[in-house]
Amino acid sequence: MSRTEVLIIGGGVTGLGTARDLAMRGVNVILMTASDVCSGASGRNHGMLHSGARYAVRDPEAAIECVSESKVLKSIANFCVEDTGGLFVHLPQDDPGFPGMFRRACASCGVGIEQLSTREALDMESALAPWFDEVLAVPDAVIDPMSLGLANAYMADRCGADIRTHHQVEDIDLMNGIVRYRDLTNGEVGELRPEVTVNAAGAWTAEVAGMADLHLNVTTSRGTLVVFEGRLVDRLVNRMRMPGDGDIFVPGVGTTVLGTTSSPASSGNDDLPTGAEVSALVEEARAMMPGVVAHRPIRAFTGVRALTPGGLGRDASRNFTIVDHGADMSMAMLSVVGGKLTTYRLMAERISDRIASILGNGSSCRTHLELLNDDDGDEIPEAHRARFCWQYGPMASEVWSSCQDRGAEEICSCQGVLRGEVEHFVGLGAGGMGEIARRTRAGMGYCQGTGCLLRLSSIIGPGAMEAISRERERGLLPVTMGVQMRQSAMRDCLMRVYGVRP
Amino acid sequence: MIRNSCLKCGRCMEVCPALVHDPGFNGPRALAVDRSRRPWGSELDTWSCTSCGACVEACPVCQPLTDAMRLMRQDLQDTGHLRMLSNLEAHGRSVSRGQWSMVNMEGTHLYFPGCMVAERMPETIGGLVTLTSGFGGLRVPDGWVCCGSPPHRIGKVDVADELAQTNRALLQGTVYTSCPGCAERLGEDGVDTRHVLELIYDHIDELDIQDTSIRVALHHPCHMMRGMGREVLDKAYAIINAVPGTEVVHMRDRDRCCGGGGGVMSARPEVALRMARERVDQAVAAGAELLLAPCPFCVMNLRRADRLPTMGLLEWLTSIIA
Repeated sequence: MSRTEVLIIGGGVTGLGTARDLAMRGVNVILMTASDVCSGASGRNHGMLHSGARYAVRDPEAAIECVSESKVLKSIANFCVEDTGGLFVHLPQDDPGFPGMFRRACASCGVGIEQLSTREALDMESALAPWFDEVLAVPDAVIDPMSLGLANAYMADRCGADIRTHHQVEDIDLMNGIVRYRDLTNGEVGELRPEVTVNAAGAWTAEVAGMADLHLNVTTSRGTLVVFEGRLVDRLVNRMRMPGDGDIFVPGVGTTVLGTTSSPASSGNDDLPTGAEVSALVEEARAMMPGVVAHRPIRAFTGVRALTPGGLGRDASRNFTIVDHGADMSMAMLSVVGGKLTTYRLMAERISDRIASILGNGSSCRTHLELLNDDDGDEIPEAHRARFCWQYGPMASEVWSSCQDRGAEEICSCQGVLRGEVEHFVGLGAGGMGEIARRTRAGMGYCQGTGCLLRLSSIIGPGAMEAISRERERGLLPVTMGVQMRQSAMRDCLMRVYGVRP
Repeated sequence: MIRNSCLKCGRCMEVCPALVHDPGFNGPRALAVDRSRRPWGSELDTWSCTSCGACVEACPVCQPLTDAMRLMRQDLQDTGHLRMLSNLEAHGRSVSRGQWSMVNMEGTHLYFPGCMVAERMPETIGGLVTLTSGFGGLRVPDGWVCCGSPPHRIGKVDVADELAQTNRALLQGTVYTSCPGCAERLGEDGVDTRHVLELIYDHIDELDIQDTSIRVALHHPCHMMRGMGREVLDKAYAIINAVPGTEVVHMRDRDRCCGGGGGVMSARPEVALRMARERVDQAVAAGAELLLAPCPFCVMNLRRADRLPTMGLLEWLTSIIA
């Protein structure tokens, strides 16, 4: 039986950020996640770095946190942040009183806004409907959630944290201070006696609390997003109204994400996007961008977020709560509920502060001071450097070292991913299409793993072809229309040729 | 537009004639679709594209790949093209001055010689005057300049537009040319352009052609079959078939590009040469004794392979008129 100070349950950005924070304070920490890092809501969101504007009216406390945290992330995680700026556009059919309220709320929360003329806004974003009557520019930005999560995991590991994926916690015995877990890769069970256990399981927070026989009132809400091919906008474009469905466009790397829906989720695993959600999103988004229907949807995906108790869906606060369960027990336990990507570091800091005081550790937080990326990728050829630094941050040079000779072959031509990148992560133990795609972006381009299927499966191993195909089709099915319908037909033929499908 | 409908079927890469001859060339889809969608800087090498259009023809979703290639070239520059641009600047021709001198032509049909014919194969013009003397003859407009096709294909659209401006006033009514590149470009500018072989086809019965006993292969110029239309090619075959004693043999790839177009001869001469050799080898394999091409660019490039007598279709016809 091993002894450790802190066990973090959950490999989302909150858990990983906490692991990094604690490890930097010299705390002995283990993180366990039942599947892969960032496989829940941390990897399934639009990748928006909130200036706070979107929450200013309804959730000023969250907005104020976003104001300061977005500035911190723009500095410590600048390798995966694109400071695009954002626009809020007001449409004539929306509440005429909202812009005034919005401006006042932004001012009181400290969100910097700038009034633009319709002409100026259309010059910036020509795809927008020309009939909006008010536009404000805000300091929103884009952040790559996977790059951020991976960099946190890598840096935490470097500081001594032990990050274990595919480790499922099965029982938490607060009375005796024992946590039992199973290593899903080989089925072996084990026990830990941490001094503090942190429940940062996101959409599965209530289930994890249940393992300790605790009842936690968490609501889960599913949000579906559609990825379009190409940059339809160069800035984040929000609809100036109370946040609702289909009212935000986020520019990505050669793509644009349209978000989101919001409906109750039956569980953390309720993450299959539906055609109805996609139709509803696109229909709603036409008000802001009439041409959106003509663009090529690449895929849809659904994230399940946990919200603090008290509200449902969008009425719930995007703020976070730390619940302390472990008083008078042999082991302390903290559950963190709610929050969002933009404030992950602040949540990690608050949790770590609490843990430090429990452990009597006098060090203070340094995560806002030290860069997440200390690798400028000098050795990477210019043609690849920008992408490697964006995707891999502190790992860029390490990943590049696997891309010599045969590793330089292009595996995924949509995304320009090299064989060596895939081999690097397979060598580190990543298995299956989801894990490879999350790290390298292979198969995430417009053909959704049609062209690279054979090459990818030759690296990943037997059975991969069917698994890759099945995994990609989850997101393809709801957008099977227009060009993606033809793409699917093409894909279907290929599957028959490859003998994957009868 | 280009990125919106690619299905990654790979047809364009399969049919691209340059891809196999230039290891540094990425091919139509990689350049026009994949690379252009990535925000990261990566070297683009577009100069081996001959603008043959095989990819466009093969694409199941009709992507304008060659147009995309031209757009990408707009911001690039190859030293091999500087000579072409300075020639244009100096004397309105895409090639340096040759022996062109104004032939006395008082004919009725307006004829646009084009740079390659005028400066490199002026004998063609004399031959054409003789050929057509029985049905009106040819007349060359004074002050014509390059049609703009070479600069247009290397992305220098502004240069091409300026040239078109100069030619526009001179080219009223039906214009005949012996270069498919000129025909395609002038046609895009709104000039009613025909290949001079179409004029000859209409009067083929009036010509007194010698009996020849020769096996010929006809190379299909890309800008003729894909730019002007396959019916022009049919007329070329009809003319050959009107020559008594001639046997036509077909090359394995009927529509393979010779490598002479798209500025590849100036930017990547070694690639153009490899493509020409592939084509000529096919003609030899088919048993041809003479390779014909109704396009001066194709003739120029195929001759560089130096393996088989190669002639312009009309030059050959001139040589066997009784």
